[in-house]
Amino acid sequence: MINHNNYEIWFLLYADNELSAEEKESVLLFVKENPSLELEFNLLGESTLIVDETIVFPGKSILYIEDAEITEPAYVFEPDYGIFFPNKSTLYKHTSARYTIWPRAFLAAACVLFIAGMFWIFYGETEQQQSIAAQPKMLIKSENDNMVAGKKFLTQNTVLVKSMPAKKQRSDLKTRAVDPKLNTINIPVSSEMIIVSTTPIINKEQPTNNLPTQLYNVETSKTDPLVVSEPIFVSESLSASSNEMSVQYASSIHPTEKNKTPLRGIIRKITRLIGKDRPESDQVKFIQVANFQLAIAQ
Amino acid sequence: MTDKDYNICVDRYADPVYRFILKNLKNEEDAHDIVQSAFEKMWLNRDKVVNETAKSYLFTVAYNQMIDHIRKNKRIKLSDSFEDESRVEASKSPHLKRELDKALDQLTALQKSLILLKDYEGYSYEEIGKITGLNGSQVKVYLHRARLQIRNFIGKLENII
Repeated sequence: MINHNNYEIWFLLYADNELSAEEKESVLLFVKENPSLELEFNLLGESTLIVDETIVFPGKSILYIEDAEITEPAYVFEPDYGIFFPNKSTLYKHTSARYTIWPRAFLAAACVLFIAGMFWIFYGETEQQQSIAAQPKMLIKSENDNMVAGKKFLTQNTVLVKSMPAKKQRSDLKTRAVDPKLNTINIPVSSEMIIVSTTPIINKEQPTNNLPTQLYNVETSKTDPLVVSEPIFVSESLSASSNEMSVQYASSIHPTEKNKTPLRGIIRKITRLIGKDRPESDQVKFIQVANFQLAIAQ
Repeated sequence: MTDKDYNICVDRYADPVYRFILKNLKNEEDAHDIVQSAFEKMWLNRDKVVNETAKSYLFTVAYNQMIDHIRKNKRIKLSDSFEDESRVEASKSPHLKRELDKALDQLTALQKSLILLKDYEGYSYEEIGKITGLNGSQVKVYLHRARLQIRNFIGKLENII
């Protein structure tokens, strides 16, 4: 109920037209009963705004939608499909197959060669070790080549190997057999087969019967294919004039000997050249043939 | 909302929205742009707007755009030319009309909007709250505060006279 404590709220609600008809009557009655508040009530009544009907929106005509079929606003632009880019041909990119296939073919060939080379290096080496007896030519020089009185002679652990004629070599190899118990190859005693010197052995002026040559057993093992362990043969038929000795040794006769091909020979030659460049050990003396080493007992 | 419903809304609400904006901004061009933009937005969202809420939607859009416009331009000033306009309220003297406009310009944009929405459009507190983003109680408090401010302004002038 309106009173002197809350009349202002009632006046404001009256001005906001938030009162019902009965509440409005009660407010008007309260104002009549309190003339001192009439001015305040009138001021609040005058503070209300009356709609100015003269103000109209001037652009109403442009807001109307005249065509019922229009579904899109007018500002949406349609693309002009009649406009073409004149220099479209300059934008095309032609990638010929020659440029794309050639590098691939090159890479493929390189990969094949690399894989073949790696296969030969790792697997062909084992095969070569097994068929070491079939190698016909070996020329080995140790690091202890010395010159005495302007003449070349061989010192300890120096071995020069010269191949025999192929026909004769094969005939000899065929006659040899591997002792399965000892796993040792007994090389037949022959002046043309193996000559190993431990002291200077070659000198044109020295008699041939003074040559302190020794013959070594040639054993085969899994780790070292050919290891000279003990002397087994002394040769007196040294060809001193040429500082070379004919040596024939054998570990076993491998069936791969039958698989010789011209390509295999070329590859072996290459491996020999590579093998010559390998540094030798300072402590262990050995004979190197291609990728194989023959350790020489001290 | 069909195109016919939209056209009906143009007939009914274009002028009230324009008056509401014009009374706030005192700039006919800005008011024109805002009203046009509000109707354009309603047309784009005609699938979501129903006829019953079209008026409230238009006032809400127009009010928000007006607030954005005020914040951008910061140029709400009393226009002398507007003061000199011959438009007068029907039941009030020209002198009182001018004093009311002056008193209205003393209010903030929010208070002015509340007064205009209440007196011009007759919205309830809750409806004004939906348009302005306030709740009913806030609208009531702010609106009464604005009315008392106008009353005090007019009362001082009456005492002087």
